[in-house]
Amino acid sequence: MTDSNFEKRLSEKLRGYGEQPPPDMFSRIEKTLAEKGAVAPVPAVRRRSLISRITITVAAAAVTGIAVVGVLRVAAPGEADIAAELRNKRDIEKIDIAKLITNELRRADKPQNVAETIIDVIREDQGLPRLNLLEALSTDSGLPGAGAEINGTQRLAMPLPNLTVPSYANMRDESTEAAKRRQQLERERAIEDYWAELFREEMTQQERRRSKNPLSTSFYAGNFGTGTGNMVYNDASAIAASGMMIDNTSMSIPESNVYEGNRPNMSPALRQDNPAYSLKHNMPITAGISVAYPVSPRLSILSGINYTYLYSLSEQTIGSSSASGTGKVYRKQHYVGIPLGVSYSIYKNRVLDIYAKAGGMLEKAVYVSESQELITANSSDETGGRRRVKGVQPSVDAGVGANIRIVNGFGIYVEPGVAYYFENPSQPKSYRTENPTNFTLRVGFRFDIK
Amino acid sequence: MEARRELYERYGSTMYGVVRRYVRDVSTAEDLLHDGFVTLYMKIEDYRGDGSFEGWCRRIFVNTVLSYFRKKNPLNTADDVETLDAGKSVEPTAISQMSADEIKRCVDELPTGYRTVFNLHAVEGYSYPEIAEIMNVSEATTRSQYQRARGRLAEIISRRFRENEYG
Repeated sequence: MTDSNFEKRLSEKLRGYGEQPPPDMFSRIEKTLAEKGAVAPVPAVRRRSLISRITITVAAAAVTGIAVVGVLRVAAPGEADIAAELRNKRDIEKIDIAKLITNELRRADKPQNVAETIIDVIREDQGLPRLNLLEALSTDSGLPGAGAEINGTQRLAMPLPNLTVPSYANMRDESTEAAKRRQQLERERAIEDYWAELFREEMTQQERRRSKNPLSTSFYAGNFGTGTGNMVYNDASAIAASGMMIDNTSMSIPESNVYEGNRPNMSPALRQDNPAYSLKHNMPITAGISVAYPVSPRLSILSGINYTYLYSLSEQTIGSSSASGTGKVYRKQHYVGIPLGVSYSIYKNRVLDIYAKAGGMLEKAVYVSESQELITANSSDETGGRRRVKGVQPSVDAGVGANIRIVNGFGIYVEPGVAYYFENPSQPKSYRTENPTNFTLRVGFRFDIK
Repeated sequence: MEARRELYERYGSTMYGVVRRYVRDVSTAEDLLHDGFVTLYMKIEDYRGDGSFEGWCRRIFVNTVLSYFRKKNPLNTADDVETLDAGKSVEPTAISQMSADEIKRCVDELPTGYRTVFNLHAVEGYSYPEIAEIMNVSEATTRSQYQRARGRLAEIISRRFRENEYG
């Protein structure tokens, strides 16, 4: 559907839309008009005599005739509305007689006595006393109000609009016009200020909601454990410090099931003439789910769940010249952590979002296993077991990221950064403990949750 | 009084529909209808005969609604709204098959500001410069707000049409 058709059809439907007002609406309107003095209160029903009804009918016809002739004769500004109304009206007797009289009274050449007679007839019909029109119209108090006595009769409010004008000439009060114009300008300025504020408020709220919705979730992986980033040692002290020295006395992992620290466990049997040692800590491998909760168009709170895998391997030659072999100790650590941080969007458009992030994480070793393998010329022996690790591994990290929106609500991102792992003797040695400050790299995909 | 009653009976439901397009709250709409007719009756002599009488009445009621919005606290007028995306297309037969009442309910889902801009431009026929002058914003802003409202309305109509079709 084309743009113009869409709007045209909508406009047609909506322009024709109507609703039934409440049944008492008209009486409410009439009551308000009466309170404002624009119309007479609806009088009590009064029985009219036949003569009275004939008089009213004749008077109404006379007024109608006068109005038709008089108004049709003139095309002066201010009375064109009456002329148009009369020409357009199908039921001419339903014309508001009071309004016609008002306009007639404006005309300087209309005899006052005619208007007076017409008004008195109408007032009598409405149960009001006769009014000396000239007396009433000569006051400056606006509508002939209650209070003054005229011809011995209490003056009542005249239900004729526009009788507030003392003079029925077409002169306008300049000061009133200026005041009205000033009020109009002030009102227009206030309306303009209001709408500007309304749009500003709505746009702010829309941006807030746009940032609040959607909540975004990302799946990532990082710090792949291959390549030249692994740490390698070739001295016994490092291996000893890591607690990964071969123990061939009982061919079993030290007794304690709780890893309370890295205790050197050099066994005398391992002394060798020219021992060779190597210890390798692989770079951690991480994966996880991250959730970003926007608190403003640019700022989000980050959390989620993170998994880290740490692998270490020590190798050493053991034995003596008469019986030697190779011993290997494997350590595998599985950590789960809860990150918490903030992300700030530096630059954002429809496709690209560049941001900075910072935060911290607490990780708990959920599974640590160590195994030992002893290989000699004649045998191969392997033992191992699980270790329970006390305590947590705290860390902080910071970095930048770039998210590329592939389609609406889905994108891929990359986050290089740096992390620092606080020293905690309760944690087994690993890449992170030996290299507390290390580079991190995450890649992943992110999608919005609505 | 008879003239006023006739005028009310002739235009009352139409003008109430005008007010209800702008204001969702029924009691507020009734108050505005009442105020509009009081203004209409008191200013009936201002009608110059140029243009249709119904169009003149519409303007009175639209101005009554705008005056009401001016008095309201702007912070309470912003409605909960989803992200507005422009450019959604509508089923070619959607609008034809939907009643005016359903279309009006779709318009009701727009936030106040966008609903007003849309009504003023698409239905009442105000031009962008006129709307911009009323709201003291640039014409470009009025255009963009209208396009957003239009896009959102297209989404709402499409969604309601599909719900009615398959639901």
